[in-house]
Amino acid sequence: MQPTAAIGILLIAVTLLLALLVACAIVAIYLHNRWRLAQQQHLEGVQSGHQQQLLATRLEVQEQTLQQLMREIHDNIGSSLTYAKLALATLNPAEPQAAQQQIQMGIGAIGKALEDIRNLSKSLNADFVAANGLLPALEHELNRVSDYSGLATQLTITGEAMYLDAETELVLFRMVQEALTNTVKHALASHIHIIVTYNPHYLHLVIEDNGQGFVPAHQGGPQQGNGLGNLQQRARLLGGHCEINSAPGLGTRIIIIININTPK
Amino acid sequence: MQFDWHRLFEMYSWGYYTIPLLLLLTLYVAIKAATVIPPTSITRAITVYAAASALQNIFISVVFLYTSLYQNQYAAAFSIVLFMVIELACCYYLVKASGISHLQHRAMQLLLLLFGIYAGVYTCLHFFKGFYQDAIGLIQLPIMLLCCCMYYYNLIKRTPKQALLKQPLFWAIGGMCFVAMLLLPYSLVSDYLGDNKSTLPLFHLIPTFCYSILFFTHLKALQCSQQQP
Repeated sequence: MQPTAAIGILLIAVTLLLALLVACAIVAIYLHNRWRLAQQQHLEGVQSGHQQQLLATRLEVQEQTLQQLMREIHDNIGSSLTYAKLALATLNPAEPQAAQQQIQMGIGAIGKALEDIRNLSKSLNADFVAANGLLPALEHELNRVSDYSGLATQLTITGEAMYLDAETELVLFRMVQEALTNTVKHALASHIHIIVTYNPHYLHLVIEDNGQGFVPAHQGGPQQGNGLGNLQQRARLLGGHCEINSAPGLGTRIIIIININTPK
Repeated sequence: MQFDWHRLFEMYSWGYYTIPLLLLLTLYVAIKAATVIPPTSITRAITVYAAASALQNIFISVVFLYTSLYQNQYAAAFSIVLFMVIELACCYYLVKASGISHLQHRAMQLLLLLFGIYAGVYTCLHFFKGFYQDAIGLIQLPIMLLCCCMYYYNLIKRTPKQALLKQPLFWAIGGMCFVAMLLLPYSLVSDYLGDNKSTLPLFHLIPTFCYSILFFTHLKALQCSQQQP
């Protein structure tokens, strides 16, 4: 074989080998990119699902807030103002002594309505939770519940208290509000106790009452309203979970555990 | 001037016709793409590349086919060197269009400048010595390969946003990478083969094969470019 021909064959062999090498490298890059794109799309899907859940929860919290507002206006503020209106409408100028007493009662009822509006404003205002933190907001809420429902309330804090991010604290606060509303409306309880336990890794929040209790749905009881299910959904959204323990005659205990270090 | 029909048929027998065909098709599609929609930097680079390649091919064909002009090989060599500079500049623009860091941009500009100076000086020194362009090609091809590698490096590093097969740059730079890699060994020995009066038509199929792939990838890049929003 002539040297030129040998070089030629070698050249063609090398060229084919290089062509194969380049093709393999490009295919490898393509496959790698496709795999990363699939990963990326999966991640975006998960994030989008989470965002949708978050949005749904926000809307639900808004709805709950509006309902609470409506209830408060109807049950407390409305009744105080009705009482004041009645007191002032039935004034009899012929009996100054009784009239004076009725005016005082009317002023007292209006004062109570004002106080209720102030408390309600604090309770509904998300900035109040953000500005003061979860614990003062809980304390305020318990006082408010105690004032309008006559229930005895207690707040116990163990561990070193710490600030969580504003959104987590607000969602937790709304969850407690939901639980308290359920207790006042359905439990026929005389005592509510909230225990907040701080740990470097998690937050443990217990809301218990000494009410009539019920058989939870997961233990074969009748299906409850959305409220308890929403509590569990929101806890999951915060990267934690929520347990509902109850039995007829033994009260209800709601346990919320949030992992503080888990990115949500 | 005497037209050498025999040489024309010889060139055709090497499969040389595939390049002009693909080239003209690429040029047609590129010009159409550049005029119909607002041209992107990719369309512009491919159009310039195809136009330069077409002009260079026509010029070389004329030089080769007219025996009297064939005596003046330096003109053909000069056109090839000029095309190499344009080819590298187009490769630079394509890689730049993919979005590169400031440092990579500066490095590529410097390489392009150094190559331009080298090609200019080498041409001045060897202008009347016949075919000398392989020495310049041996520098141009690794630089082109480096630019392509830069693109692939960025591609691996970045978060993907779109399937690669739908990205015009992936096709266009892929073709460039093929040419740079496959023509490198050919450029190494082509001088030797030329000196030994090699008549093996198979050798000439190597650049034909490379540029056929290149123009095919450029056509695909233009198609992807038109499909992009």
